[in-house]
Amino acid sequence: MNSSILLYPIFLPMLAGIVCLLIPTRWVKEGLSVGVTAITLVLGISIFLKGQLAFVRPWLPVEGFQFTLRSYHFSSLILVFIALFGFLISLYSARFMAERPRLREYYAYLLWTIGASSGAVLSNSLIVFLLFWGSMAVLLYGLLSLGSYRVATKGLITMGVGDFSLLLGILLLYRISGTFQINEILRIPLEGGIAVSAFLLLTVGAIAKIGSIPFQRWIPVASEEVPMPVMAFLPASLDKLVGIYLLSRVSFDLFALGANSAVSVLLMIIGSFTIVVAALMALTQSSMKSLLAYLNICAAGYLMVGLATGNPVGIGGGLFYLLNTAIWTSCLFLVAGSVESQTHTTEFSQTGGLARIMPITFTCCLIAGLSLSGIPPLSGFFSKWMIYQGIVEGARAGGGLWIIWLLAAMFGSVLTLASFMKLTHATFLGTSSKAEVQDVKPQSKEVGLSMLIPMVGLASLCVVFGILAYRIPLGLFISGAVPQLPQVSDWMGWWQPGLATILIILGLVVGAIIYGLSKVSAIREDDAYIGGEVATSQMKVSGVDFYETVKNLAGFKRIYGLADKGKLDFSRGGMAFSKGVATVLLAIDRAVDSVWSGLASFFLLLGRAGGFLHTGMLHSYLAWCLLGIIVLLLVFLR
Amino acid sequence: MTLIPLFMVIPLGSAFIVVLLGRFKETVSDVLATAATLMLAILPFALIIPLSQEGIFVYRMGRWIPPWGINLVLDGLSLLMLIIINLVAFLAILYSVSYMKKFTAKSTYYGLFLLMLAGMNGVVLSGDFFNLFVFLEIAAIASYALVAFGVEAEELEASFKYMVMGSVASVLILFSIGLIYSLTGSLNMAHVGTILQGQKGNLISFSMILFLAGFGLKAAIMPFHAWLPDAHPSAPAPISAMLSGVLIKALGVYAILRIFFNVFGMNIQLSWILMILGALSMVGGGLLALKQNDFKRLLAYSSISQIGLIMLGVGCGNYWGILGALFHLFNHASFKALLFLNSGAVEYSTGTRELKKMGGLSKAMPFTGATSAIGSLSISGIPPLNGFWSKLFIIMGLIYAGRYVLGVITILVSVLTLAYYLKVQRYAFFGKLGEGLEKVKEAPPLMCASMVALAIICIGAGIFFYPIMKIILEPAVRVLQEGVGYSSLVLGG
Repeated sequence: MNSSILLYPIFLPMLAGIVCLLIPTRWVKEGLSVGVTAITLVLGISIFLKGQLAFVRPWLPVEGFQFTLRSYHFSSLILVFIALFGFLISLYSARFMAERPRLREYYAYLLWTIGASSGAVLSNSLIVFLLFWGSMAVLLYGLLSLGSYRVATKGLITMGVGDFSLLLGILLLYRISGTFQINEILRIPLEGGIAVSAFLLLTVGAIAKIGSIPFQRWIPVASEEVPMPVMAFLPASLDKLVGIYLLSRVSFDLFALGANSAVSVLLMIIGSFTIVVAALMALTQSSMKSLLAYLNICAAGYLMVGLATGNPVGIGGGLFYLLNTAIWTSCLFLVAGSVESQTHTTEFSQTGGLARIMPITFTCCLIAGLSLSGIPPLSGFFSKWMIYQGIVEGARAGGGLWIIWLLAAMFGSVLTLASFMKLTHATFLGTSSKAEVQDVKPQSKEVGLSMLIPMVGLASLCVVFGILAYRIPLGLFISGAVPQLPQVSDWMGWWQPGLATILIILGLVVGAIIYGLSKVSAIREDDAYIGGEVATSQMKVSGVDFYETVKNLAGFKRIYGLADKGKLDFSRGGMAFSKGVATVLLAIDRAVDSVWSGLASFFLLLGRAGGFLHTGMLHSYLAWCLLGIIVLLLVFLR
Repeated sequence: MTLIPLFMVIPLGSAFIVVLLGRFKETVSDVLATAATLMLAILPFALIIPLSQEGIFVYRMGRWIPPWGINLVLDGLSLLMLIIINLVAFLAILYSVSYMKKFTAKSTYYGLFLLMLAGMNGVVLSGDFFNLFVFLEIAAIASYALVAFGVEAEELEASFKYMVMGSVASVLILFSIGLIYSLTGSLNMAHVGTILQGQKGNLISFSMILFLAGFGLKAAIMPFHAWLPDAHPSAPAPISAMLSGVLIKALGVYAILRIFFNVFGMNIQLSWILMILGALSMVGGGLLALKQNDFKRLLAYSSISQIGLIMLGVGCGNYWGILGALFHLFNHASFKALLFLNSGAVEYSTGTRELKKMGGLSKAMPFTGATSAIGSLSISGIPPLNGFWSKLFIIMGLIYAGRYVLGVITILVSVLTLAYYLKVQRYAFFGKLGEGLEKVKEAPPLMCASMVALAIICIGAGIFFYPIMKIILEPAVRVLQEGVGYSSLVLGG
């Protein structure tokens, strides 16, 4: 088998990125980007179909430093999805990004990010992995800087913390295992300080990438300023894919994460905390973009909970949820982009009634959102169910805390649905707002085809992954990645997505028939009667205040108050800690400095003393010479 | 090799012609002096390849066989010195064309300059003690006159001190030569070397002491340094560059190397003496430089410090130490000449040498500012500039020789060096433009050209240190490591 095919998905996008950077013409960049990502997708699929491949080249003339790539079921699965999202985002960007500045950089960063993440996923050497992973952080800075440099710095700091800890973890891992080859490290048991700290450091690297709670802060900030395709690409899909890839490799290939072990409980705590807090925060957001950002963070929590169960069903559910969340979150971010491109805002107070103007966008949004909320028979329902099932399985293995995780996950699901209702109402339903009246150009009601295709594609994936859950996502993808996954019938109970769909469709048809039969007479449409007043756009119910009551509930009031003050911004805690460390270091530094400055003034004093000897008197200079000669005489003629 | 006498003939001859023709038109003397030094700067490079094939050239005047008559010896060490001397001399002359306009009697200046150059070339080429002394005196007397060239009170005083100390040195050297002659009946260095081999005695030691003191005075090694901080700043800037960059090395360091390594032969006692004097100069010069506020005076003390570093490297006596010392000899010539030319350019434009009266000059004088930054970084040993490599080699040499304390002191002095050059940069070139300096302009193009050329040498020698090390330095190191084997090479060849 010719394994050099593994090089193409890495270096083809990188090469195309360089070309994009050099060529100023717009359509060349767009065409190249779409074309190359399509080719990468095809390459990814063919690698996926070939099963296991390994590529080895000597790299540095040092033992153990080899450029090795390896594809197997899981990594090529992630590769396919990276390429898929890359392709859809490129397609979407062609229209969306057209009028924006720094287009060259955008396409170059986009393509390089695809190349680098393919490299990270495929690499079989920890060093190569670290190189690609690190360059992803730099490229993230580049992409975010299209929004603003402040956000980009915030993102880079988060990723920098993750990368640093990853580097330390890899060094510790090398210390334990003695090799940099990933596939030679086999399930090190989590015993002893070094193994646990290596595991935790590597985990920190992974969860910094997926944006779970201590590392989430940059995402909502970025969502306000960064172009939507970037959001749909980076935090929504790509970061989740590679982050979870890393987390599951670390947890189940490099180390053996036992179910209900202390480490897994720790991950569970972080995960469920992320779910609840992010979902609560999502409820009260006042714009579509920031709401989506919080839902995105919430998804990171589900992923962690799924993986941390440590049993095949939970892991399988987590990975399934990973694919789904990547799909629907980026679909929703693209929807937000479409809304923004038509109305120039996603503020809930200024949008509304867009369903009539943008029906396809609305449908996509509805499908993705319902899927995200876990409404059967869409994909989200199935994967969430698997995660719950995994938690319950964990309870069978003897974990006493399962009920907390289960409650957190379910509570989060309810809150997600609630916040999605708010989003849908405020943006697409209700009365139209002034934005519609004034800003929307009459000739561009629905967004263009190149922007619709990605959204429709992603939305239909939500449907397909739901209805054909057993066959396509589980059968094709997940079962290969999680080989121990038992037969679906063993754990899924009586749920049959196909049957359910048929029943639902049947119900809809019956409903339509009843509706048709009961309303034979013509329907008169009219404005709502509001006591003879004329309805104006000022009177619309925007949905911003949907959950104000929740905000004011006794228990939550305090949480939101803290969140508003930024207390839940854990990066602040980190900053405070760093400041404390800095103060201590400064004290040490001052102490050392005073030694040095003392030394400096000592030297200056010596210099001054020497200056007094240089009187300018010739006879004293001659006396020195004489003294020197006398000393030499004493030395030589002893 | 008939080219060798040209190193004396060209400058000697042109010295007189320049003075004569300069009476009629000043530009003629400019052109003639520049042409002569350019020719001299190119000549040593033409000798690199033939010398690497032959190993050593001995030129016999009047076909007298070596122990008798006058002979000139060109080996790796002499060639290294010739390259340094003539390269810096050419750039200094180029600089002088504009700089010396404010002095009267430019042609006399050129004449003295070329005499000094002839003297230095003669010192590094001559194969016998007496000619060494004669050329040394030619160079020294020319330099006394050049230091006093401004004929202000300060310059005359400095020149007088310099002359007295220099004469003491000459007396010591001459006395020592007399002693050697009375002991061996010969003045030819190679011949003396063969006769003295294996001999010991108080008189030989005494003559060694006199040489060390005499050439130590010329090289300004502590405690024989006191004339230098007065003499070097008082001279016109290109002459300061020549004195600090070249003269103390040709007359002092080279002579010490040649006499102690090739004639007397090194021993552990001498090695310690050189290292201790070197360390003393290095630390003392550095400390004194730190408190100076006069730009050129600071540079002068820094020269003492750097000469100390060179002696330290030579003293430790192994391959790396000597290599580093010789490389530092080359490097010090490049950056110290550059810094003195910078100080001259600053003085030319602002009229002051007081660091505290300057400020922000790099905006007004971009070339001077940039090149002085390069020179300062280079002398402080910042990689990848040339000063870094030579200091590194010297420290390596000290460590291989087991002299860890001296190695640490060298590193600390390097920090000290950085400190006082940062002081120069801060006061003179960084920050806001000083008061009364609003109308300051960059120095004339020829001055800039020679500063830029020296800066390029600093950078180039840093980046291409390896070829320089292999082609120019290693033959010189070999000469010193052969020690008294020099005699048989000269006499046999």
